[in-house]
Amino acid sequence: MATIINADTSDGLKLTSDTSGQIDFQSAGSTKATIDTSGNLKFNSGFGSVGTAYGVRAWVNIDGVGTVGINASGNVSSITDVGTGAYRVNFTNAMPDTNFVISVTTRVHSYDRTQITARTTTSCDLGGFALGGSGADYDPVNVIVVR
Amino acid sequence: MAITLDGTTGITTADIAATTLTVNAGFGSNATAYGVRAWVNFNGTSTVAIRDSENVSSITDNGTGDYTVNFTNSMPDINYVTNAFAAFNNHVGGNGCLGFYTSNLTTTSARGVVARSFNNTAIDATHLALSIVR
Repeated sequence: MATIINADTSDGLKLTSDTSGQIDFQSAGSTKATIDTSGNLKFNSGFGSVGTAYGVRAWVNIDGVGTVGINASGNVSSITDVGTGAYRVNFTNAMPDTNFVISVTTRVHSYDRTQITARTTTSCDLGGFALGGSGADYDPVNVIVVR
Repeated sequence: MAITLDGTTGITTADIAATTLTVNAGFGSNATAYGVRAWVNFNGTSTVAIRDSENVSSITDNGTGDYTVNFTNSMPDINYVTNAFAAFNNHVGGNGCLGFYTSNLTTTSARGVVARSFNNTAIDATHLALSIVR
């Protein structure tokens, strides 16, 4: 018999611990997921043990051909077209610093490469270019930001 | 309706109603974290072999340097993002990097990827890594 806890319609549901505690989610007598006091979310999901998972803080699938558009995204407010094969990804909510990790992957074209040219807490500039260094537009341009 | 989990300084909001997960995990404050929905590490030479993966049922070998990554559970649409990286053991200079790109194949249940050498020829690579975010 499953136990169902209904959140209050106005105040929701709160699970709390004291100042030194963490919250464990247990099943069959063992912890399956944890929220520790530093705000780390830990789970297994094939990792082999309950470990901290870090967040993808922004992602965007860019249609960079013609008028630049967003096919889909998370935490990205807009894309600025700053030249052929050059895009600025603007974040909805800023990063805490500029040390975030960016991954860019394009569709195969002709010996293409990508690069990151600038970054701030609110945006990052990236580009795609073909052999010889000339800019090239793509659809899609896959961008993932981890922090 | 928001559900709050409060480990004092831990996660303070998991907004179920908005289907977002908000977590700190070194970010500096509680902020939305998006999910890696599938990943795979595979050997693309000879008989293609998956070293390890999550939410990937199989790899289809379509020819030299041409693969289809098949998902166990489908994506909600085709607008997910793909991160791909490849390495080739026998390139001059040792374990050289080469291009690993998405192909025209994009469906909710599979993603096509192609590997290229430094001279832009299709090539089978020993270490191919791909992750999907949505």
